[in-house]
Amino acid sequence: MSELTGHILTASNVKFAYRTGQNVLNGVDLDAVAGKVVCVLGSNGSGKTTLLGCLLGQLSPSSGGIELDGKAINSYSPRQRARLMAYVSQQPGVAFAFTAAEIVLAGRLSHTGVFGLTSRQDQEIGRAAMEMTGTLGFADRMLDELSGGEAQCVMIARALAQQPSVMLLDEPTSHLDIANQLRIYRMMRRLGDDWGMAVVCVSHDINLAARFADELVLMREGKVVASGAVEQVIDRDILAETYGVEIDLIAVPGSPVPMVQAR
Amino acid sequence: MTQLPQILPNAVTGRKLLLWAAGLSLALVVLALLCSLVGQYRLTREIWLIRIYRGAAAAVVGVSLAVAGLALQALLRNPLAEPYILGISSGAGVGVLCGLALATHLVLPEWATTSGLAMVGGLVTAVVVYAIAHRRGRLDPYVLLLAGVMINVFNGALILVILQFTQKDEMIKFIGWGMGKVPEWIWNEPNLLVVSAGAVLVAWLAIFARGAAFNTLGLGDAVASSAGVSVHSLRIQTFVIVSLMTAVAVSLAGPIGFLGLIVPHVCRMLLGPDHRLLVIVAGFGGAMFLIAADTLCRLIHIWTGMGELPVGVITAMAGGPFFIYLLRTRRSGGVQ
Amino acid sequence: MRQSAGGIAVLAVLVLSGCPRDLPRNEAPSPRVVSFSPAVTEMIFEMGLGDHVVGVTSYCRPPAGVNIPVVGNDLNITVEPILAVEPDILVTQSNPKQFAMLRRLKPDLRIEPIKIETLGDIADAMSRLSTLMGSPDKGKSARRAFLASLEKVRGRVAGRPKPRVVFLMGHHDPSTAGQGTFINELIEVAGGVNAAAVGRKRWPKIGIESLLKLAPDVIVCESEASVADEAREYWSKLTEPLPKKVRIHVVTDKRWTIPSGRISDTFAPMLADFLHPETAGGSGE
Repeated sequence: MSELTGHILTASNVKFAYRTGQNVLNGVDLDAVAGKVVCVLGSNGSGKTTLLGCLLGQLSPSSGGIELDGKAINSYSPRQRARLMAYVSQQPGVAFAFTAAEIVLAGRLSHTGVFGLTSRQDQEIGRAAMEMTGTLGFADRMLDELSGGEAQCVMIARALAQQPSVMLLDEPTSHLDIANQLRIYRMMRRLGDDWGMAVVCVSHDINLAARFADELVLMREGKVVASGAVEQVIDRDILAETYGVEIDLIAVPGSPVPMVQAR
Repeated sequence: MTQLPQILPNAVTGRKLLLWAAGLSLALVVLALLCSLVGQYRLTREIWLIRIYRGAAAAVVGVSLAVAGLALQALLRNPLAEPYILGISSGAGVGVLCGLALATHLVLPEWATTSGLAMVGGLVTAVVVYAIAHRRGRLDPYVLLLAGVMINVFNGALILVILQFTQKDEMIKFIGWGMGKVPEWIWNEPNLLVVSAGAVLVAWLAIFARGAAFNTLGLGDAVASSAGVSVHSLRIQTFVIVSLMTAVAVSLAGPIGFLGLIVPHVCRMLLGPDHRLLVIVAGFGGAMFLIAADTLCRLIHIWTGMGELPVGVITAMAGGPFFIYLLRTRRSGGVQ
Repeated sequence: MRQSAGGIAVLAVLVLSGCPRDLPRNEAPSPRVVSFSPAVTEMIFEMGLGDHVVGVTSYCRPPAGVNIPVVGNDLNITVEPILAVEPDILVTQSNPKQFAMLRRLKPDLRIEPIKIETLGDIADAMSRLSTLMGSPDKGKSARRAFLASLEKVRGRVAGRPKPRVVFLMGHHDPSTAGQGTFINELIEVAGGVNAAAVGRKRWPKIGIESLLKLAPDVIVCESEASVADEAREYWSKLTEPLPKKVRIHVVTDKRWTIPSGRISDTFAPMLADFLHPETAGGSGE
């Protein structure tokens, strides 16, 4: 369970440029609140992944600030940071033949002692994370034996094992089928609702994001076009400006959020 | 409801590691003692001591090469990595050859023994490789690999040039050094052995402490960093530790090949990829393998009467086929 | 524009430097000899026939102050430097077939293979070399002096018990002199037995235990001058616990292992002094 409440991760007017001078982010704000799921969307090249890198503390913004639990992100050591924030990358993969259980336990690194040895408590936490993600059944199978969806769930379990207060995911479902996509988004929703985490997910699927997120942030060319509650942001003009294409909104029976389709 | 296991299967715990360490230490001591009985001269206290010293040197070199190879494979996420890709053995060769070439013209300073020169040559090369690969506070693994390869080639050319100025006797001595040999004369320089052993033990412990981080590094730099690994400082620290270990090994025994590549792989295939366990097992494995190989050299010499083979021949000829056998019969727990 | 001008300049230098130049002809008496062996060079100069030598290898050590062009070495035979000194004869210890290319370019060049491994070989080499160079008398007298010195030493130590001797080169990874070497014979001349004359290799490496098993009475170790004391200490320490006392002698002159006249007039008596110190001093020079 997350211990923190309120605004856990904030980005204020973040600008980022590569050493070549190419501007990627031109003043982006973002607010990750405990218990809420925020999805970041935008056209390709809009700077979503760079934003994530800055939020993780792995890229240094040229100006603007990122704060984690009220303190500047670069004031944390990677170990301290890992106890508050976890990350799931786009593609699950590992260079060595580890089992799912071993990968999940690797998430306990920031909590273990000098020699990185896991205690009974670490293992119980790992087990709970695997239970939550439904991956306990293949605990001793190699990651490359699992399907894409299962492997990604293992990675989420690993991130959960860090016991973070904020979870960052980078297009976690881009290689998965619709059933698995649903599964992952439902999991993210549970992380917010049941576990009180702040979830920030860079997403490529506007409909799934709209269905499960509390807030959306739409980006284009390094700037935020619009951000706010889903109902406010799912607007034909805003979406057309974000993606540069004509948008149709199709009402879905039983759902407050319409489906978005490019014309 | 069925009783779920309360802990995850096969987890590496402190107790498991201690048991392995204790068991392997015992095995090492038993092996060393058994091997000290092998030889052609009758066993007196002095002869036994000479053999024990030699075994100890073999253990130190074996540990260094195996652990250095393992750490490099983890660091570079590359199964072909072994301690000499950083250019240390070729650098040591340059140092040794310079010494041999100059010894006929000037009196060399006291530290400039073959071991001392090998150490200096190896470390200088490590510094050069580091300088090439180090940019903006980080060591790029790809650049590191390339820099090592390039420096190896350069050193090779440098050696060919220096050979033009070397007497034939010295050339033959250099070739002898280049084949790698556990130092038989180490009984006369116990200080050198103690210092080397101490350095290697400290380095071994330092690599062990980073074992969990190596595991996590396998998930990719971005994920590892988010999980709490200081990726860039880990790379730099590991590079320094590995360079030191390899330099010590080469300064004692010259470049003994294959051990740093084979032993980590074999251990990984038998025990899985968890580096916390592998660092311990590979270290002891390397030590025992080299002691056994060195003893086999002595045995072959006794049985056939031909000169003692350089131990690198045995490590290749024994290690190679065994490795191939493992590749074919077991599912590879190796690096993907 | 500037870059290509630089490139042209470099190219010009390279091309011009490759053009044949008129080498100052080394005024040497006929026959002009290239020596492809350090031992041969040594012997030629000892006999006072060094004027004939117009080319040596990089391993040769002509006497100080004498400047002779280096024309290569037997591990790497390049024809141009050899041809440039216009030799009539080339003397080598290695396989003459290696010089086939040279012979094709200069058919009148005589390639003389010569074997110098035993003391007898040294003596024969002296006469053969001097005959080749047109001064057979010098060779004859050198050979006579050589054999006479050896006889003198033999006489000095005749009838005495022969100690077991091991001649080592280096102390960290030592080689020794086996059968078929002149050191082997030298030990016999000086009144000893070469304990290491086992096996077929001429200069085998020898490990500590093999050495101790040979039960030597005397160890003669050729060592680098800078580590001579270290070598002496090493061998003393190693042999200390043995039941029999072993005498250790360390020599630093590299010429102990280069066959030449010095073997008989300097090193044979020295070795006899080591093995039979009770005969030293009386014989004089």
